[in-house]
Amino acid sequence: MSTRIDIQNSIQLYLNNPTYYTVGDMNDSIQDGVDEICAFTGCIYASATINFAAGKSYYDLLTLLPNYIGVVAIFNNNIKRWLIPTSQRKLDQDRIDWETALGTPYYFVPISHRYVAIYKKPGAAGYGNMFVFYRAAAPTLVDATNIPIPDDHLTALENYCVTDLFEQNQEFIKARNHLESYINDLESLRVYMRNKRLPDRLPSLK
Amino acid sequence: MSIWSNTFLNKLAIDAEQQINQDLQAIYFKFYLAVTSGLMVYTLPSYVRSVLRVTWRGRKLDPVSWEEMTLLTPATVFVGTGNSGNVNSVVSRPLYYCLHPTNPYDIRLFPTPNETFGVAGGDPYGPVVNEPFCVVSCWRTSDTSYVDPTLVLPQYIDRRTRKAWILWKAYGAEGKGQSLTAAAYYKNKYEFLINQFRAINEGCFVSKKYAIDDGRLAIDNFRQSRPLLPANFERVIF
Repeated sequence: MSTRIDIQNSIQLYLNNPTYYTVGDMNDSIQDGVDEICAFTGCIYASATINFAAGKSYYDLLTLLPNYIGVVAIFNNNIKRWLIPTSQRKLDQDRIDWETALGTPYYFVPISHRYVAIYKKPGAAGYGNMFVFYRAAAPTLVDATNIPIPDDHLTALENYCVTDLFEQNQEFIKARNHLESYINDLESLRVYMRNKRLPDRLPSLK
Repeated sequence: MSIWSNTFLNKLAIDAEQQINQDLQAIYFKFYLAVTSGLMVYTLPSYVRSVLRVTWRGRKLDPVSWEEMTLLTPATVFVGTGNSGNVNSVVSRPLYYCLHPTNPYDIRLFPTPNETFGVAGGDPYGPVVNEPFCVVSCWRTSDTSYVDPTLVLPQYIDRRTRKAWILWKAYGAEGKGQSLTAAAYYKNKYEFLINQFRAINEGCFVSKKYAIDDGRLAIDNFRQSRPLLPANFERVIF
């Protein structure tokens, strides 16, 4: 895997001038680029253990997990079962006071980029915990950090950085060209992450 | 020497946050609505963008349109707070709510509440059975004072999106620093970023893929979708 210093060298090589942009400028661009690419493509997955809170229906996962972007799955570690994803509308059909219902959590509902609701909810403290699997935001990089993007898609990051640096110098025509390349590379990476990691699997509707 | 004043940029920063909220409602919020016995219409806080759900003592109220409300209760009327023309003939536990057709922040509960509820002492994100509260869930505007981090866009999108919008407007403004090329560039960039965040926010509703079933909670309650013929299919009208 490439590190931040590798990306920095590669950008300097492309710009054909090792001193015009400071190392600080480049590192800021690389960090922004990794943040954005990881958020938009979902190329980092993480998991965490969260305790069920007594009487809590809505969990603020972005506060509990600062690098949280979106939920993938939740496992109820108390009953050793995966929670089933559903929607608020279905829970409303099940019972109009589902938010207050106490019992074993079997369902979860993603509400927004921050909240996830569970149904039902434990009524007493000490019920147990859940494993939350989620798409995560990028870490803070240092020179030796491995960039958490597949190597064959690192051009997305390089194009982001070059776009960003050209923007700062008001070279908007050049920046626009690189922005187009960046958007194309980003889409390729997103398709790869979502659909092409396991082509052996046949998609089916049950 | 800077091209734009801090005052101008700060104003654009606030405008950017509001514009992002118009383009994409993303901040989910629940709050207690103070309710007075015998009063049917309440004014919601101005930060409310869209009402998603209202509960009374933990039970969901059914949303209806203003026209449906007039059919539900043809003999009651609300003219104004304290107005002698108000007719409150049905006072009980509310079952329905609607938004006022002309006052965008007014919400009417029907039947008219027969209890008075405050706003202190509970947690709207962890309601308890039969709790004495009226809870409103909504999409809201962001907190432009930036005091509460849960009421702004997430960090991974906020700064860059706002920056693109601010520069789009700043470069497009009359006066020194105007560059329509730069403004067009940042406009495209803003639209790209907001569309990406829209994908993240909408993508979190993973249960969408089950929406073609009949809506019940059973796992095996699933059928393939099929076309339905319209009610007047093959009907000949002379």
